[in-house]
Amino acid sequence: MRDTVPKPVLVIGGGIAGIQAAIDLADQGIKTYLVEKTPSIGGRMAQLDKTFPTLDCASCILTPKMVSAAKNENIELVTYSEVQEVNGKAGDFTVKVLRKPRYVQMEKCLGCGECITKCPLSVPDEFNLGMSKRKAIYWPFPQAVPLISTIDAEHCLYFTKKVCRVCERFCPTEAIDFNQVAETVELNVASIIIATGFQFQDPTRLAEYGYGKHVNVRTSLEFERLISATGPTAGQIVRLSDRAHPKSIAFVQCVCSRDVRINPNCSAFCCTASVKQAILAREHLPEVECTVFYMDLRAYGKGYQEFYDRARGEFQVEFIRSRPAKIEEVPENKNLIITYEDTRSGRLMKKEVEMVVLAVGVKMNPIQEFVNLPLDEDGYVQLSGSYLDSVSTRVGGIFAAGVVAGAKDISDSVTQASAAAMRASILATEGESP
Amino acid sequence: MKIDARLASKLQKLGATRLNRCYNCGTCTAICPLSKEDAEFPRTLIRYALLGAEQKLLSSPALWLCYYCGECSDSCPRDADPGSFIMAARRYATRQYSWGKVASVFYDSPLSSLAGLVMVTVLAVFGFLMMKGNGTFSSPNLQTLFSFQALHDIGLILGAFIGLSVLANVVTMSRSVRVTHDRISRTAGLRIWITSLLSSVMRFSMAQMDYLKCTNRNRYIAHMALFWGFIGLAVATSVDFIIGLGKIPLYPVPLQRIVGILSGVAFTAGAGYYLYKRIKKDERHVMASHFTDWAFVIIMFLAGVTGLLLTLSLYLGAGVAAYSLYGVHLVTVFDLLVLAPFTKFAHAVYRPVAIWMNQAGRNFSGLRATEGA
Repeated sequence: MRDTVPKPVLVIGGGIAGIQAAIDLADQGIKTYLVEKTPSIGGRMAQLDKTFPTLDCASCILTPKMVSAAKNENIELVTYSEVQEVNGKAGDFTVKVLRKPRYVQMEKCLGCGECITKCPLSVPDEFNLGMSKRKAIYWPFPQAVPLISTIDAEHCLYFTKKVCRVCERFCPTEAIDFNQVAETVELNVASIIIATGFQFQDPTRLAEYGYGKHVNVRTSLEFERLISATGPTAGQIVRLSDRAHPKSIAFVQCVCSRDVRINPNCSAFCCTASVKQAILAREHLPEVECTVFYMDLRAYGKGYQEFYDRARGEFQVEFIRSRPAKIEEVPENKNLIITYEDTRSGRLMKKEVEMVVLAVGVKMNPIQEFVNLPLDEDGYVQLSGSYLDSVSTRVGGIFAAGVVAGAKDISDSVTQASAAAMRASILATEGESP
Repeated sequence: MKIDARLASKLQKLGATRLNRCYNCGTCTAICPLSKEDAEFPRTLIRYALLGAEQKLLSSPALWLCYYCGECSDSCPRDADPGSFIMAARRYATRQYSWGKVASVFYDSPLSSLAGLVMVTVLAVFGFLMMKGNGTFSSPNLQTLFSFQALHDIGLILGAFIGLSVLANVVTMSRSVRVTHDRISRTAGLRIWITSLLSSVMRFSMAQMDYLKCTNRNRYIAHMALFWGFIGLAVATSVDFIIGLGKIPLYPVPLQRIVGILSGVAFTAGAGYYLYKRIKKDERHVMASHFTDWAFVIIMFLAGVTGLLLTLSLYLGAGVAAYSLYGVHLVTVFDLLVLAPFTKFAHAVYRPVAIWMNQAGRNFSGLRATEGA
């Protein structure tokens, strides 16, 4: 064992990749900052109901990792904060981080939720993609880490109209502080892991599918919230037009993926995710008829083909090889008519279903505002170019993990995160003598 | 089935430049306003092309139904441009259906196409010069510029040549189509063929109803003007030919000349519209023009313009102008008509035949369905 104190490492992004990287670094005795822009770590995975191909409950795997990251004495969670600037070089980076005001003193808040109960203002809940409401003082979701309330200044009556202050009155520990201001902190780190994740492409760009116009056309993430026990319908799959259980659901693959007009890349996880959603739909509603429209079903991972086979056999999900050309709404009952060519028979077909789920493709969250990393022609962070190095970016000392380095599923993100942690730790332990 | 491994690259040369991008997803078929439940259109055709299934491709009447609205190309997730592919496949079919594959001269390279055109033009000029008449510049009279009898005889011979060529090509085409539609053509009775012919001719050739499903009104009107203008000109010319025989007066303006002038205006305006659009490239169907498209539209436009100016100069008594315009007019019309069976003009025959065969097939299946039920 060398006689040195390792330098700290910064992990940007508190999704599953960032959490895994932070835990792996911290477990080696390296001080790790985990910066997350939203009030809680957890990321996209927190929004999922089950994971493929094992149908494990996503929260049941994720929440313990979130808690263990929070409890780890080598990890400093820097939530509700954004990296603003990265300077320096491998082994010696200076990073400016903006800590946004929660208007709640973190050291005082107990997470009792009294403020949330009393807050009179309800606003659309982004965690449920606007399909339910949350209060203006809120936790993003009940398992949030840290479980500390945050005031949404954009909506809060005090900030918009200078009235109310009910939360302040009811808080048992006087944690509310309307005078908090944003502050910038400076971190000195040996290496950086970018794990900033992804956002979904905009499905309204495919006007022919009618998303945003036809109420029963939903995205895969919205469907994920609908089947989630913690979702807006407490796990009931319903059509938003009439709150009835659909008797038929069509899943459409490659929406804003593998489409040169919008995004030529494959988004990697959607195929198996839709297989999973079709299986879950059949589990929730044994009567429902599920159809998946696909161009190529890319069930490439360990156990994924078997998962797909189960969907076709055991769960009797129908798979049609075709990319639908358009989806039209029946005005009377808000059902949807899908026009497609069944490419096996070469026939032009129309199919009426009660609900459509679009497997919308992804793109990485923008990072250019705070760090200048070259991107690949596919729009993701460019990796070193060596086939044998899947985590180094073009800038020494900065590593990438998760979807920011290319679309991938959870298990591949976690694998890449651990690899990135390993590489980041090498720079950290080359640090100064005591 | 015979496989032609170079089929895709041949089609690429004919304008289907992005053919290889196809994912075979079927969006084009499902978005096509002309797709019917039984149509192999356009995805299946692309598949045939990529597999090298030449016979399958050439035997598809669907090839000729398209009016190139471009919706398939607009909605293709691979930008494989199915619309351009259909046009390229038609060029290929025009080449393959022509007797002795004569059309290859006009499709294989711009140079050979130009050489072919120049040869035919020289032949025409030479032929017209041979039939020297006795016209004077002071009082221009087209009927005396050339020996009218010789022009008349040559006209008949050319008409026979064109007619026989078209017939030969259509026979090749329909034999090709029957490879896949054999069942229909053998068992469908005469009645089905006749009723199908009537409905195809009325609805799809004369009114071109399907065109309206595919395109904007301007383009439809331009195509109708071109089509009916040509028919009107053909009728007026035939009347002149049959009853005129060298003694048609300028005044009073004969009826067939009025028809001819109106048709000429429509024809020229239609050709002008297409020429303008091809230069402007502002819509999907004119974005990529093959040299055969240019040749066709330019010759049509020249024939139309010279015809109109010629008539004008006749009435103005401008002898030199009238005679020179007449020369150019005769030569361009000669190019247009003699080459019709081997150039883009051939679609005027292949399309109605394809629609007829398709309609017969559909009526036949319909009949079978009702009989079965």
